[in-house]
Amino acid sequence: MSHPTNGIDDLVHQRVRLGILAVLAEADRADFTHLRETLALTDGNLSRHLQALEQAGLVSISKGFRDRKPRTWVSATRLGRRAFAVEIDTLKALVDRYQTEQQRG
Amino acid sequence: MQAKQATQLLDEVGSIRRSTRDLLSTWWFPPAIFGLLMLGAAALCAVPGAHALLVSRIYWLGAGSGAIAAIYVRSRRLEARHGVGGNLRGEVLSGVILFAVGLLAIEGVWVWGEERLFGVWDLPNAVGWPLVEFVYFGSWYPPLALALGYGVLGVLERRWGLTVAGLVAALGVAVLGAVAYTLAFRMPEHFAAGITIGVVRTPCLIPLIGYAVAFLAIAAVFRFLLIRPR
Repeated sequence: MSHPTNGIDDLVHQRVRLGILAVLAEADRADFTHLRETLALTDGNLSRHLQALEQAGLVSISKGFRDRKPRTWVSATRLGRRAFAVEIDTLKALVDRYQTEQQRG
Repeated sequence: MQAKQATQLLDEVGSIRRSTRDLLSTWWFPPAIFGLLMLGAAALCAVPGAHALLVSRIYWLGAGSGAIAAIYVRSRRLEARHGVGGNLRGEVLSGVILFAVGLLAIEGVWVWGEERLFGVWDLPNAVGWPLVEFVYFGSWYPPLALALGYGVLGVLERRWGLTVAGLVAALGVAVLGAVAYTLAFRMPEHFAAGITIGVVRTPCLIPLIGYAVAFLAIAAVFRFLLIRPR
């Protein structure tokens, strides 16, 4: 049986990207400002992470207007949701394995 | 990676998901609004039998369509305010399901014999039939529609908790429907507030209140016992 860490995807595993996907796992879409405030990031930092996720096909980004103000909406793709679920399962497996080893002493 | 870091990461992710879900906690709204519409429909029990069907049709077409529109508008407003968009398709679909459930429940209350709301349902037991000698079972369309509707919605939205919640809600509606119908049929006629169509006295007020309570209870469950994340 392989070690659970083998299932970790470096692209998704990064803390901020995991946070972005966590928001998008619950919401159909979130705007840039909401993500920036929820994850306490700067504009530039969030942009870089979103770009990485978009290039990997994990999120899609669309732009629109509301009350004449531009808004950038981000939503997870099917691939992104799947990658997030796999990452969470991997982390849980890692924790379970550690707890089992602890119990065995 | 160490297990401690993994635990910390899982905690952070869990916290983000919970706070997002709190902002999007809108699943309670459709059952709440339809529960209130049911309560409102109780006033129609006072309408004389000859006009009851027409008034009921007008009420439900207007109120039901208005409720679905309200669900849509509310969801859009929440999205604009919080910058996070909920499951609009799911919410509107759940409104449509509840509309159907409402109509099916109302059909049992208002319609008997040849005239039926929209004329598509054809089982006389919609009015409530004796299960055993002293217990009446209400219409089984509403629980069936709830279970099927939320079952399909749960599959579409990949929220299995919603499917389970639909089954539990259906069971609750069936039980409350049975209690309401049993009470209505066993009560002295002047307390039961019903309408007479042909020779059949159909209870109205108590079943409606029973269904309304069931809908509001479903809303409370969705509001306070949140559906597990997908």
